[in-house]
Formats: sequence, structure tokens, C-alpha cells
Amino acid sequence: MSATTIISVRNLRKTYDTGESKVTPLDGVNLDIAEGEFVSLMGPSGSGKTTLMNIIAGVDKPTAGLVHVGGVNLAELSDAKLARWRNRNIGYVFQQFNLMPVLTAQENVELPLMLLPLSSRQRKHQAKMALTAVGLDDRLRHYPRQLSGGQQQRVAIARAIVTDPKIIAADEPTGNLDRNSEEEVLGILRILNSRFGKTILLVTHDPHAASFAGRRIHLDKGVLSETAPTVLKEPVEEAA
Amino acid sequence: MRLPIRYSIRNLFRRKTRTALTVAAVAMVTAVAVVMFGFARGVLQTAKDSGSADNIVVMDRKAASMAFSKITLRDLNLIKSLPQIARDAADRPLISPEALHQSRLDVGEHKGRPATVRGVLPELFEVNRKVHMVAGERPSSGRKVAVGSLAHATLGVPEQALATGAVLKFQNQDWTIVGHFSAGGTALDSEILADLSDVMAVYQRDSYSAVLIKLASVSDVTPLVRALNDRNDVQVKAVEERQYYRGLAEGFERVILLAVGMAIVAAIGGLVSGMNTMYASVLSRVREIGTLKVLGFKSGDIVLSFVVESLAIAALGGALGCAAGWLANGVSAKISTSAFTITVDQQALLAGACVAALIGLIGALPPALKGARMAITEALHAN
Repeated sequence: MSATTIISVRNLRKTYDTGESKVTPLDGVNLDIAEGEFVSLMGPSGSGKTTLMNIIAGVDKPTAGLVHVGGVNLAELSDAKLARWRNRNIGYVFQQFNLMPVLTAQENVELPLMLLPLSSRQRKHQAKMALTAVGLDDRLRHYPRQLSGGQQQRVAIARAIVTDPKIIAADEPTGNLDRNSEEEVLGILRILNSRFGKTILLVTHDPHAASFAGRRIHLDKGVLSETAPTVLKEPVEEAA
Repeated sequence: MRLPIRYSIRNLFRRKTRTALTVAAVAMVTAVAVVMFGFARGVLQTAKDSGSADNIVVMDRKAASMAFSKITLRDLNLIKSLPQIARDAADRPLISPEALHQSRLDVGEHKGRPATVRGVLPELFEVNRKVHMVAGERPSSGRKVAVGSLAHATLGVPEQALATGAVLKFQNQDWTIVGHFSAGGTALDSEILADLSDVMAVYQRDSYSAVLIKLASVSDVTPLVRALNDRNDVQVKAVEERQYYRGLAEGFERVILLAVGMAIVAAIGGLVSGMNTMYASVLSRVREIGTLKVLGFKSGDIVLSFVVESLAIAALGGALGCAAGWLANGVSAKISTSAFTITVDQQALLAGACVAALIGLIGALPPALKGARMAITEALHAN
């Protein structure tokens, strides 16, 4: 593992027992991702791309193999420690936003901060800063139902970055968005990577979304392959 | 608590109808628990308050209660001669022979109501000092009776049906109500007091049911009870008056157990309702649970959040139930020929609050644990 490697996956295997049969979407996967990389993970449905990202994010556990993230061997962490580690190191963005409908935008963004030793005032301030960073400082008291899909996803991104994690894991973050909103969200991810040095792991089946990444990895039948880096898309200014 | 309380509270309003129904169910169960507990308290309180420490009841040795007892004139004279008996200012022994009858009375249009009629002498008011007139006159010869403060409940008639001047009919005789007495929350409150001679005449008795004695000193009670019970020349037994009424109350234990049983059945119904609501709440938010875990919340945080949600329902339902139960405070309830006042005191309200809290807690735990233990990836894929 090199000095700049933040994610190291070795001989990773994941097997699901469906009851009738066993499915192994990942078998012998090796992957290194350097700190500050923007990596897209592509592949057909059921190829194991979300499973791979979930294992790296500490959301799922491998059947075999080693996963080091930020120098931490995730297999050595108990469930409680893993939860604490996720809170401090991973910002997760979901395809369907997964905001709490009964909380306002600001309260949603404050949620991960509830687990940190911060005062209410500090939490509110940091949540406001995060929402400002995604261009939603005028939507603090809006409930998710009062926001468009694109705005909801931007709230979700604010929630993902509010603890200042090193890694952003985004699972099909534009899958439920129209083209304009998609551009906004991808632009924000691009800025988080280029300006703030966040390591981005983007799971997508959309080549256009993948084109925002500096490194594109294809996963099919448990085999990883990489396509050559392309010229990165420019950040979307309005989202900054 | 790491998940904000507002998250739990606001979730209650996501399914308003279900929440309202559960609050109503908890309120009903709590009200039942409060009333049943208040009823048990009333019965036990009556038994506890009945009788004086320096009084002895003398009955027929073979009788289980006053109603089936016979004390002859010979026995009475012997009892009168006991030196331990307290005496009044005129140096007369404080002794109250009584004739007790379970009768069926007609009160105006209300026919055949069961009640206890007690024939007494004026000495009763000296021997049993909890008995005092609150209105009108004491019972006297000429079939003039006084009714206790809970007699209307025992008879199942409105209070005004027993107003002064009203006529009761039993043993084919008319008995006029001339007064109202209180026995200080004791068993006598349910009864009708009549003149001893009148009662003995209409029931054609030549013996008394029992004799109530006031002793000069409390320290004489136990030795005298023992001495009377050891005598072979008279067929009487003596019991401390308090012990006698406590013994009667034991007969009501089954009724109290039935009341407690009803409260438990109602509580189980409330529990099922609460659990059903919380299961629905958990099932509709499985993906949220997964999301919270991804954000770093632990299973315990999530369980606690659901428990708070359930306890909020329980608190609201419990408060409404206690308020409803409070309305029963002071209401008379009848068992056989006795009546009791439902006593909704702090302990009864506390019992109701505990029932509500238990419903909230136990109703939340199984569904909350089920949701919180679900694997994150499984939870995130829920619809």
C-alpha cells in the first residue's frame, strides 16, 4: 500500500446466500485508490459495483479478503466502532436521497453531527455552511417534500460532507434526477474532489456521469478493468 | 439521546389516524386500570377503616358472620357483667347489642332491593364513634330508620329516593326515613339502621345477632378475647372488631382479583395495539433505519428513538386515561349488600401511569429491536 493510497482492497470475495443458491458477485477483487482520486465504478446490474462500494464504505462486510481504508483494516472493527468510523470518514450519497421526511434540510444535515461532541450552535452553524456550499442556504427550513429532486440530492450531499469525511461514496446519485439536476450534482461532486481534495467513489451505470471521474473502473462478473483517463468535465459554476 | 427527540415526535404525525387510535386505546386501558385500582383501594380502605382498636365483636361461636349469629339474653347479661367494659358518664356499660338482617326492600317504585338492616340501640353511637348523624334524627321505635351515606348505591336507587320522609317497605311494614348517618367510610355506610326492638319484633327474633363492646383499655382487648373464647359456659366467640371487618374484606378478594384480571386483559389489548402501531412504524421506515446506520447511528440509538416515539403515545394516552379515570373518583360501586367508594388517589393514578408506560415500553421494544438489528444493506433495499 503506497503512501497516497487511501483505499486498498485485496482478494475480496463476497458471497450472498439467497436460500436456494449462493451468488458471488465479487471474487478475488484487487483495487487501490489514491487519496484525492475521483473514481467511477461502472458495470451492468448485479455486477457487484454497489456491493464493492458498500464494503469499502463499511456498510457491508466481505466474505473474505482484506479492505484497508485510510490505513484501517475494517475487518478489525466491531459494529459499534465501524459505525463511529463511518460517521467520521465516509460521506454517503444515495440514489433516492434518503432524507428524513420529518426533518428540515438543516436538521437532516445536522444528523451526522449529533454523533460528534458539538454544541447545538456549532451543529447548526456547520449544517448551514454545508448547505451554503451546495447552494441551498435559502432552503434551510424546508422539508424534503418542499424541495425538488435535485435540491433534495444537494441536501443529501451537504449531509455527506458536513463531518468533513475524506471519502464520498455516491451510489447512483443522479439516477433519479433530470438532466439539469444531474449536471448540478455531478458538478458539486467534481468540485468536492478538485477543490477540497475529497476522494470520490461514484457508482453509476451512466457513461455521462462516469465521464466526470478521473478514473473509470468497469466491473463485470467480478472482474475489474479500467478505461483510460479522460479529460475531466469542468465544474458547474452555479453549484459552487 | 443522540437522535433528536423531534425526529421521534414528528414521526407520530406521519400516520395521524393510526397514532390517534393507539392513543385512544392506551387511554381506555389506562382509564380501566385507574378505575379498577381505585375500586380495589376503596374496598381495602373500607375494610381498613372499619372497626375500633378498643372494640370487640361477640358472636355465636358457630357463626361465620354476624348475619348468621345468635346471642341470647343470658349471653348478653354475662357480657354486660364483664369488668373490662368501658362505661359512659352515667356509669352504663358501653355495649351495643345488634340484630342484623339481609333483607329485600322496596323503595318507592324500586322493588326487592337487597340491603343490610341493622337493629341498634342509641348506645351504638357511643360504642362505634365513627357513626354519626349527618342529617335528621337517629333511628327510633315506631319503625323510624336512618340510612347510611352509601345505602343508595347498595339499593341501586337514586340518592333522592332515600330523602327524609321517604318510606321503605320490608317485612310487610312501612319504615320511614328520619335521618342520614355517616360511618366514616366504613362498612356501615352501606346499611340501614333501625330500632333494635322494632327489628327483633318484625323478624320475630328472641336473640341478638352480635354484641359490640367498647373496652376501657386497648390492652384489655387481647386477654378478654382469649378469655371469652376459652369459656365453656357460654357458646360465644369474641373477635377484635378490626379483625372481623378485615375478615369480611377477604371475601371480596375474588372480586378484586376479577377487577385486576379485567385490567390485565385490557392492558394486553392496549399492548397489542401499541405494538401493532410500532411495527407499522418500523416497517414503514426500514430504509430510514438503514440510512441512519450508514450515517453512524448505532442500533441502540435507533431503538431508543422508537421507544421515545412509543412512550410519547403512551404519555398522551396515559394522561387522557388518568383524566377519564379521575372522573370515577367518589363514585359508589356495589358488591352484594355492601357499597364502596371508588378512590382515585395518587396511587391509583400512578398505577394507571405505570400501565401506560409499560404499554409504551413493551410495545416498542420488539419492533424496534427487529428494525435496528436488520442488516444495513437489507434495510436500504426496503421499499
